[in-house]
Amino acid sequence: MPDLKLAHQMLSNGACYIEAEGFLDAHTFEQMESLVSGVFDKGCFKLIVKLEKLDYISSAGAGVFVGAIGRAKDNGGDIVFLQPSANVKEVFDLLGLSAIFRFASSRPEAEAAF
Amino acid sequence: MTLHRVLEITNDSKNLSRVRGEAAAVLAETAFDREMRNKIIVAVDEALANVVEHAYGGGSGEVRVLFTLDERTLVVRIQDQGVRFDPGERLKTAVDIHEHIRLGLKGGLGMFLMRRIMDDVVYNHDGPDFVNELVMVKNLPQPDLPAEDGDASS
Repeated sequence: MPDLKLAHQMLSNGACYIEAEGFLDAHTFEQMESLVSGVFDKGCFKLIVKLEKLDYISSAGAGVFVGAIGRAKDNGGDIVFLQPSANVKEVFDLLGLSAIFRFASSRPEAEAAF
Repeated sequence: MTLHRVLEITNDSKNLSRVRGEAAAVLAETAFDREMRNKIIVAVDEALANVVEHAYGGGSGEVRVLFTLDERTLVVRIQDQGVRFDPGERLKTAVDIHEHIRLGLKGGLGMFLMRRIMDDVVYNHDGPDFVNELVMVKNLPQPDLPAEDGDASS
């Protein structure tokens, strides 16, 4: 199994749905950074990022979203985290990101955020 | 009971997961709950990630990670022989996450996490077999002591 597995699809409402599985750390964050950058370059700034199966995140991983949310909002978008695992949510809490990013507990709720 | 684990690795980011696994194995011997185990693994990972990225200035080098667990504390030492690193005020400075977002900054959060999670974070320099040594200490949860019986006459 790879350290980080990513999948993404464009939704009919114009948002981009990203699903992450595994470990988002200083070894793998560039994969996520590249994906987010590529989605932005295609003009999609509304991101739904499902983190239910992401077992681990470090500051390098969280930093991808810290660095991206400004560009998303500047272009009328946002980043919504869907069902983050407990391990991931705890790191967001420690960094103060839970008060800044939006979270959803279901996919319909996440899609309705845009 | 004292437990020692030593890992000798290269400064390759692919080794981060191996060290996290070793940290998890050591933490399995403690009474920390799942949440605190996750946080301590994050602190170890952040410390090692900093060494991997910065200690050898883009070159390769050796890193030693030592775990020592006794009845009262978990001590994690990360030693390298790279460029001397002085954290300066960074160990004391709070991170303004709003400023990070405003400026689009991605890094600089690891030391903040280490400090928030661990009870003590200290840098040593120029030891017998290291240039930099980061020492992180976490006090173990102590079992509740039985209440003392105040009536000694019975």
